[in-house]
Amino acid sequence: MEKRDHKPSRFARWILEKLSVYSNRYLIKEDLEEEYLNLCQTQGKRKARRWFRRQTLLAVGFYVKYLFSWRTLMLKNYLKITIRNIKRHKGYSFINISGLAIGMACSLIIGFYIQSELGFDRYHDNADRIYRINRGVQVLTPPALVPALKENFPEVEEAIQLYNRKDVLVWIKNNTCFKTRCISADKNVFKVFTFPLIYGNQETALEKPYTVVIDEETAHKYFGTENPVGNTLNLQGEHDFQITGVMKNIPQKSHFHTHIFASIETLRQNPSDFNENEWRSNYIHSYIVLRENFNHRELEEKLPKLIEEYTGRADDGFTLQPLKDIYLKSVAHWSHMGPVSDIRYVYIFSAVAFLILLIVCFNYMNLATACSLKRSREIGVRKAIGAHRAQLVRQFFSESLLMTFTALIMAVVLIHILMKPLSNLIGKDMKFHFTNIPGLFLILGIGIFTGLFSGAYPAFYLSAFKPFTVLKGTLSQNAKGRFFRNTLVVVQFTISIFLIVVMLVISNQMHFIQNKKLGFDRDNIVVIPVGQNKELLKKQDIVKTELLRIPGIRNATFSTTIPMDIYWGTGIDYEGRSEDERYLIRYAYVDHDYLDVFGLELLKGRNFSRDLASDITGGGAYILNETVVRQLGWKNPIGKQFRFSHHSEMGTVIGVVKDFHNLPFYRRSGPVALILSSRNKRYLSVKIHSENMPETVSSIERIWDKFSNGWPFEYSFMDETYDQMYKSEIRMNHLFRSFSALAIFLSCLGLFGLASFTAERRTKEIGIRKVLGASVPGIFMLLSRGLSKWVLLANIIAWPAAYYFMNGWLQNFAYRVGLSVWIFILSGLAAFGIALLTVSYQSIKAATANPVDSLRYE
Amino acid sequence: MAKLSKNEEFILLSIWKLKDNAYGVTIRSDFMETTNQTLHFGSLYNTLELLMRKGLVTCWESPPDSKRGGRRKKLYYLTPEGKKALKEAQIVYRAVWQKVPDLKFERE
Repeated sequence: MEKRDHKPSRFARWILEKLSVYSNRYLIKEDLEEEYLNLCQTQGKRKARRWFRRQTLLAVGFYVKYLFSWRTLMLKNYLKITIRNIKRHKGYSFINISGLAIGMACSLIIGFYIQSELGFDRYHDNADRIYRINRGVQVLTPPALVPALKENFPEVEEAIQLYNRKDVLVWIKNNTCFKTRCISADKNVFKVFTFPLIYGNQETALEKPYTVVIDEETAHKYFGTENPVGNTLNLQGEHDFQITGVMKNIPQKSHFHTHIFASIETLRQNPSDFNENEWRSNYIHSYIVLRENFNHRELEEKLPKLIEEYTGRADDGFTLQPLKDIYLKSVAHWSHMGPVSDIRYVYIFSAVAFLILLIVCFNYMNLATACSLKRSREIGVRKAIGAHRAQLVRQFFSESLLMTFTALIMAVVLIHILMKPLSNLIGKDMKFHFTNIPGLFLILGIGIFTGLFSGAYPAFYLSAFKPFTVLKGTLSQNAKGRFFRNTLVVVQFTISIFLIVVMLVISNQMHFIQNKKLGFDRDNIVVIPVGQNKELLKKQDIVKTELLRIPGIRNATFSTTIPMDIYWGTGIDYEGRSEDERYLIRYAYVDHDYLDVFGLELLKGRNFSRDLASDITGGGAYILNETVVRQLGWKNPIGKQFRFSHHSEMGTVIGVVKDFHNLPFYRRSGPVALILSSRNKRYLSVKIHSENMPETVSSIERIWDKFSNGWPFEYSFMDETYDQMYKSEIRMNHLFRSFSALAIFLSCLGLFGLASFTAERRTKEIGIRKVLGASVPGIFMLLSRGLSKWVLLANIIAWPAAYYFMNGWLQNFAYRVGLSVWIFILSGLAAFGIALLTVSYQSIKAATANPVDSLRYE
Repeated sequence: MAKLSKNEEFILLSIWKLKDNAYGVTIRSDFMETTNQTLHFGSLYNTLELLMRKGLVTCWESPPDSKRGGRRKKLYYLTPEGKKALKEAQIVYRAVWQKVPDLKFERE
C-alpha cells in the first residue's frame, strides 16, 4: 500500500510530463506529488487523488494560457498581414476563398450523406448478436427453418419469424380506412429487436392470434392521446384484430420499417397458408440472436447438415448476415423489407468528395506559391530581423487557416442553399441542423484538414527563402516551384478528365438503355399493381370490358409481370424430352390481349383466341419466345406438347414471339413462355391514346374505384417504371454530370488565377517583345503554349485510370456500349478547350496591352 | 518602483521567511497558514512568474533531494530589488497605519 501511495494517477502524471515546457519551468509535477503525499496522510488517499486530478486539469488550463500569452502578439500581427494581403489582392483572394467554399460545401454535403448512411440498426441492445438468415440471393427463408434452429442449436438464444405483408388496408371502427405497412411477427420479436412498448406487455402482446401492436405515430393519428390498447382494427376487410400494445416509432436508421406488427399466430390458424414443415417455398424473414461469444460462421457451417436431416437433401444456400451489415452490404439480396443502400455508393461519394477537396487545396497552393514573389520581401525582412523558420511556418499556417475558416462560413451558408438540389442528386433527403454534433465536428474537421493541407506546401516553400537573395531582389522564378505548380495543374486536370470520361460513359450507357429497341412497346402504357386486390381479380373480364368502353383506351391486359422484368422461373416438360434433360425457363401468366398491349411481334402460329375453348381448358396454350425454340432445337414448334413442371397436364404450343428484352440490362434475356390463365395476376396494364392522358387516367380510376372495394388507386407509366429499374444508374449519371462540371470549374478557377499572375509577372517581357515587333497572336501563343503540354500529360494519366474504372462498371450490364476512343478524345479536348478559354482571357489582355503602359513604370 | 499586489507581497514575505527552503509546496503552505486563505498552485506559479519578470525573485534548481523522494525542487530567493521592494512596502504600511487612530474593536 505504502508504495502505491507514492504514485497518483498515472494518466495525470503523464499529462504533466507532456506539459514539460511549462511544467519544468516551475517543477509543477514534483511540487504536486509532494503535496499529494501530504494530503494522503491528512485527508486520505481518495481525496488526495481527486485533488491531484483537479490540479492536473488546472495545469492544462494554465499551460494553454501560458502558450498564448507568449504568442498572441505575433498571432495578431499575422492576422493583420493576412487581412492586408486579402485586401490588396482582391481577385486572388476571391478566387481562393470562393473556390474553397464551394469545394468544402460539396464535400460537407457528401459528408452528411455518408453520415446518414452509416450506423444503421445500431440501436438494438443485442445489435452485435443479431443475424438475418439469407437463402442464396433471397433474404426469405422457409417457415420450417426457425423451429428447426431453435430445436437443434443451443447457441441460438432466440429466433423469430417475420412475414412481410407489405401494404395492408386498415379499417378502424368508425369506418376510416388507411393503407399502411404491416409485418406479421413472432411473439418474441421484442426480445430480439429493441422496440420499447409504451403500452402493453412485450412478453405477451403478440402471443395470441388476431392481435396487433401499432406504433406511436399510428396510435396518435387514429386514437389521439388516449391509450388504444383494447380497441380493435380490421386488416384487409377480413379479420378484426385486437390492439395489445403500442411501441415507440421504429428509428429512422433501421433497415425495415413498419407501423403495425400483427401476430404471426394469426397465420398459423390457417396451416395451408403457413406450414411450419414447409422447406421448399421461401416467404419468411428469419432473424436469430446468438448467445455471447459464439461465432456465426460456425453455425453457418452446421446448417447444410441440419437441412439434410430435415429434407433429405443437403442445401448450403443458407447464410447468416450480421444485422449491422444489412443496410450497406446486401448488394445481391432480393425481397428486402425496406430500402437498402450499397457500400459502394459510400465509397464512390467519399472518393468524389476527396477529389473535389483536393482540387481546391491545389488551387490554394498554386495561388499561394505563385504570388510568393510578392511576398518574398516580407519574408526576407521578417527573417532579417530574427524570425525563426518555425515562426514563418506558423504564420503561413495561420494564414491558410484563416482563409479556410472564412471560406467555411461561406460554405455553411452554401450548404443551406445547395442542400435541396444536392439531396435530389444524391437521392436521399438530407437535412442539417446545428444540433447535429457529429456534423459540426465534420465541418470543423474538414476546415482544419483543408487549412493545414493547403497551407503545408506554401508554408514550407515560402519559409525556406534565403533572406539575402530575397532582399537583394535576385530571387527569380525558381524551377522547383514552377515544376510543383505544374504538377498540381496536371493532377487537377487528371481528376477533371477522369470525371468527364466517367460522366460520358455513364450517359452513353443510359442513352443506350433508354433508346435500345426492346422488342416491346413501353409508351402510353399505364401499369397498375393489383396483386393484393382479390375482389378486382375475380372480375377481370368485366373490368376489361368496362375499360374498353372509355374512348381513350386502346386495350388492357392482366398479367403476372410486364415484359421488361419476367422473373418467375420454373422447370419444363415437353414432347420428346429425355429423363435427365433439365431445362429452366422464365414465364408469365397472361390473358388474350398481352401481345397486343405490349406490341410483341408474333413470328409463327397464332395469338391466344377467345373462340377456342382449348386455349384455356386442359393443359392450356403456350406462346414461347424464339430463344426457347432455338435452344430446344425445334424446327416446327407449333402444336408441340409442352408444360411447366408445376402444371400437371400437357398443353400445346400455339405461337412463337420474337425475342424481347425480358430482364433488366444487367442480365442477358433468356427463354420465356407465356401461358393463358386467369390465375396469378399481379398487374393491370392499360394501353391508352397519347391525347388527353390525364382524363383517361381519371376514368380508369373511376372504374377502379367501382371494383376495388376501397383499395387505393396507384399507377405508373411503363416508361417511368422502366427508368425506375435503372434508378441507381440514373443517380450516378446525374451525380457525375454535376461533379465533373464542378471539378472542371474549380480547376479552371485556379488556372485563371495562375494565368493572371503569370501574365502580370511577364508584363514587361511582353511589352519589350511587342516593341521589338512581336505580333498579338505570337504573344498569345507564347502565354498559352505551356498549358497544352500539361493538359496532354493529364490526359495520358487520366485515360487508363478511367478506362479501367469504367470497364469494370460496364461489366455490370449484360447489354452495354463499347468504350469508344472518341469518349476519351472528346473529354481530353473538352478539358483542353475549357482550359485554353480560361487562360485566353488573361493572355489576350496581356497581348493586346499597350507596351507603353507596361514599360513606363520603373 | 513596481507596485506589489497583496498576494505578491505575501509570497515575497514567505520566500524571505523560508530562507533556503522556499519552493512551491513550502511557500504555499506557509501562505495558507499565515493568511488562512487557500492558494492554488496555479495562482502561486503565476505570481512567481510575475515576480520573476519584475526581477524581484530569482530561482535555482536544486539537485534531487533524497528527502523529497528523489525529486528535484525549484528554490526561490529574493533579489536585492525584492528585498528593497519589501522594505518599501513595510515603510508604506507603517506610514499608513501610523496615521490611523488605534483600532479598538468595540463591540457594537
